[in-house]
Amino acid sequence: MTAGSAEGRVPPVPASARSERLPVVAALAVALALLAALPFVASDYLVVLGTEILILALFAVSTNLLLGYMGYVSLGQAAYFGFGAYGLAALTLLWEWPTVPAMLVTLAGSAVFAIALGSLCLRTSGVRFLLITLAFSQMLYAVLVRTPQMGGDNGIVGIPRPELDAWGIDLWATVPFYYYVLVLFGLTLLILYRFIKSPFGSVIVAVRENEMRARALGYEVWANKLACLTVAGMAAALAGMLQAQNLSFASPELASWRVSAEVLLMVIIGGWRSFLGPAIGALVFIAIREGLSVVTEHYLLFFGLFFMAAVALFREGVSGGLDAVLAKVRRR
Amino acid sequence: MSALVVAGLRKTFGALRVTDGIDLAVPEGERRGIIGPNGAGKTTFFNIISGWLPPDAGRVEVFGRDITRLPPAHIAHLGVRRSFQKSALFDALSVEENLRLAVQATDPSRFDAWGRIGRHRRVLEAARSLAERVGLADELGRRAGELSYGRKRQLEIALALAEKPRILLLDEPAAGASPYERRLLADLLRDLPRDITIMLVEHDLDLVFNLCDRISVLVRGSVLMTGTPEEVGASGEVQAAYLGTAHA
Repeated sequence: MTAGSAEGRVPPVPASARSERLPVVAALAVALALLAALPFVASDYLVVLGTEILILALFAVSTNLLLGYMGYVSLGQAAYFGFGAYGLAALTLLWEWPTVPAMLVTLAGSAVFAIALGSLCLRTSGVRFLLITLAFSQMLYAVLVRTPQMGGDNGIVGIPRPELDAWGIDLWATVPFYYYVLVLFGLTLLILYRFIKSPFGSVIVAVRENEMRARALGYEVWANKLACLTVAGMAAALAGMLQAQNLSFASPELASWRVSAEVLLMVIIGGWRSFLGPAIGALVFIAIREGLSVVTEHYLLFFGLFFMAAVALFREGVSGGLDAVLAKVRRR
Repeated sequence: MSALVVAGLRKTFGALRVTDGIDLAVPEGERRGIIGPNGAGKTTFFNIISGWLPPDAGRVEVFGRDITRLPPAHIAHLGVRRSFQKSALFDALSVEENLRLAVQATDPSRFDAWGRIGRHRRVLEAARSLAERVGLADELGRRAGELSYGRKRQLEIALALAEKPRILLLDEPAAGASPYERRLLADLLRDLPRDITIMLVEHDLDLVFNLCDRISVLVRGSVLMTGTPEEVGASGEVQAAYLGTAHA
């Protein structure tokens, strides 16, 4: 009973492998530079796709704080994604707040929401944690469907983007919106990285490895766990706000279990053993969706097949597979 | 002053009285062995003292302070540290990171949610000197899960030793170790500072008799006798208790 059970946990991560990898901050800087160059070389269509990939990558990296670092599988991260989208929708459309304050208040609200939900969910672990997070996110979904002021089942259109006209920037244009998402993506990833690699954050990995021992050493692990869940929830809420702005639309679907499951798939495909791996998972997910949806509407079927192949071929996801290949190349 | 006082401790699992009125007082700096036949309630006793199990009745005091029903982390902060019978390590993390986490657990830096780990030099240095002390200095980069069995036992004890414990509860530190590994562990325990109060549960009676100042014999959940190794060794009652379960 005293935790440390392997039930529903992710296989452990070799720390040695982790520390030997390219410094994540450097990798992130290079990636951001390349991403910043994208609009100069790519068509508008690809920039639109890139925007969505960044949003989902942010969502996936935040989800991996729970899955990969803490070892808790949540099937309810869409609750935070939906909370962000609907929080922004309610404040701007129902109460007619200006966009930026509405975003800040939604972000603060998501922290309160995560703390409340987390205090309940974190009484469990393993499969029970998965089920209780699923239950809470489905409750939010049900509430959203039954709220006619927010469009109920149909969702609500006209989610605003920040007004930067004063600076000559029109966020309704494709490229400026891409940069806006890119800046928030980079900033948030940096914050998540500093958090998880801090002394306080390192206890979260200790919880995954052996929660009983962490407590025996003197860690009040609930604070670390709740903080991790809250930080991940806030980042997911930001991703949800960006997605609502991207689609200029919020629907209950954003908070559905399917979105929770898809983000888990992205994390596992990309690799839960590295900080940026899940971002690659988001890229693969969108690439497959776009590539196959032209051919068939059953793209999820093929995505499932790819998922199985990825898990079978590289047990640590695509990023783990790349690492293995790089290690082989280096040895030569 | 007694480092640890246990009074009237009781714990029942269903109809089974696992702990049936334990009374004990361990003076500061003493090395106290706890022996007894299988099922005498030794591990349950440790689990109650270290906060993992609430007792049904009774009291545990550490340096005069009532710690009954405090959570494990709180008890650890009062200087009571324990090791586990079955190694409980952070398997995927390096030996160094295991030790660093142990040192950090009582350091104010554990609340730092933004700075880099490397910024807290004292914690890192304390972790390395702990590795030096317990003979793991050449394994710092190894994953704990990859260590040999005996080395895992060393690390298990080392985690409990971080940052000067006042009371050390060692639950079968030599369990499963080879004779050579046992000798290493015995040396390690013998060289611990004398001001640390130690409670040692161990089936290896040689280890207990060589290391401990006094020994309490636990039988069916209560203390049969407490005495020096010579007194306990000479006691007919103790021999009968051991033989009694051997026949059962």
